[in-house]
Amino acid sequence: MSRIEVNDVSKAFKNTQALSHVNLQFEEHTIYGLLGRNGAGKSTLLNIINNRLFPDSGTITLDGCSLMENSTALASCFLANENNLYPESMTVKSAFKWSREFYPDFDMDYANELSRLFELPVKKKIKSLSTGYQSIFRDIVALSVNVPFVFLDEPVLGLDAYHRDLFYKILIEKYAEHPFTAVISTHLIEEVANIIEQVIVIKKGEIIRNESLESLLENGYCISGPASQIDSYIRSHDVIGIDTLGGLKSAYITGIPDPDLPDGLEISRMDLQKLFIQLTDTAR
Amino acid sequence: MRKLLKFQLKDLIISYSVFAGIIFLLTICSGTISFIYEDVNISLNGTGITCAIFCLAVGIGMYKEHCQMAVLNSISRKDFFKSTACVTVIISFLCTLLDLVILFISQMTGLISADSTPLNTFSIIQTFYPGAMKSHPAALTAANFLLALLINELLFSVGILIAGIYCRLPKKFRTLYCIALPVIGLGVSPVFLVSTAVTSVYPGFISRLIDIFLAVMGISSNNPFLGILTLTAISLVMAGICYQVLRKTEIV
Repeated sequence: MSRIEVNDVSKAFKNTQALSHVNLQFEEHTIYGLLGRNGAGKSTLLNIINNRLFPDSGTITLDGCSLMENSTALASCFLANENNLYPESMTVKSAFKWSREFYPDFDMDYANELSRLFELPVKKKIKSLSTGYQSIFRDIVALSVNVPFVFLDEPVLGLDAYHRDLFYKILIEKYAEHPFTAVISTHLIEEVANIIEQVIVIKKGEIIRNESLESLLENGYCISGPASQIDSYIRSHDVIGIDTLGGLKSAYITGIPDPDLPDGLEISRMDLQKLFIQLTDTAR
Repeated sequence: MRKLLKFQLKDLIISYSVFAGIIFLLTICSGTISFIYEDVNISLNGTGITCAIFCLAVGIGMYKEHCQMAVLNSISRKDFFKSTACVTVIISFLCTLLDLVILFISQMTGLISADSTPLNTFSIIQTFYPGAMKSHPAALTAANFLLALLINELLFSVGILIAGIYCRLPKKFRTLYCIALPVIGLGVSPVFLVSTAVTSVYPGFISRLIDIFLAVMGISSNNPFLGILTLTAISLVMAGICYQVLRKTEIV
């Protein structure tokens, strides 16, 4: 089983600590959701893993081999992010052709099929594409390279609802047919909540959660009811956040709900977005 | 590395073809005009420094795009450097070859006196090492070709270094760098070096600098091999500096 290990990685930009002693593992055949607020360090982490940025300290290895400046190990990874690094004059078709040169397993037929499905104009220059179509282009390349580790940084940036839905469907289909590791960094948490298996939450450059989606959501619940009742209930519980609406309160609590719940209180399953908001609330 | 080399060569061969096409066109036009109008006297001496300028411009232009393409496709900077080194040698060789071909064409079309051979019409050897290797035309050709190749290669490295430093600089300093580099390099520095302020404070400073340059280039001793050696050493040092600049370049 292939595995990418991020060991004690730190990175600072001038006075900003982008990543602080990050330790992570990316296992084979898993879909990860890398979640964090703006400036949390998601893109920095992905760029470091893919040898685009250099860490100040720490190592990144693939099966024990360093990924830093190692073309052989790096050939197992592909990062699709919002920065267009293709030459100015390169067309979509030409980019596909060169991707096949660089990645021998690049599936040209699949890329063309996806281009047809997304109505991507392949004869156009990449830089002349709209933001949405640039995202689609990068996603198509990422899904066609057929490498064990694919990193998608904001893959649905600028995509309309139809194309976003289509992308998620295709990603799942591709994953079902040819399992690979996908690391999706996105702000659209509700949309990826049905896809991801493992959740990594990053806050101010530190990993604050790294567990399966199931266990993350099982270890918490939301309790709602009159404010006074909620206040007395939460005294003996580990509260990660509270929402107040008039006389009603909702509290987000870690742990398992009590079997004998006071009358008037209602329990609901914590959803990923709510949990994320509470976890990354800087006021806490 | 081979894949990147293929990409880089394919990209640069297009540029080279356009450049060579223009040079050929100009040569043919000059030849035709000279042939039709007897009173018009046009003389050509190869491509002159055009090839060197082309190498410098290509070095500056290719660096960023090719480096980004390499990193995008999971190729290490080390492999990019190796590939770029091969590409610069190949393109420099082609440029030197073009110079030679143009000289032959110029002679054939009468743009160069029939008495003179292409290589002694305008050659680095004849200009800077007059009389050297006169009795060995083959060695003269080889040395001249090698000197031109090394100059092109050096200019390529300078171009890559200029672009490499640009990429390493923080964004806020890039505009300043772009303005300051030609102003200081081509304007302020030469004027400063020959200004009376410098020559009066450091008498003989400039002439000493020139003497050192002439000595290491073998010009004062009329030894082109010393020039070849010096240019090779400078090219290697430049390549080393380029790699140091490149190896920590972050691409985002």
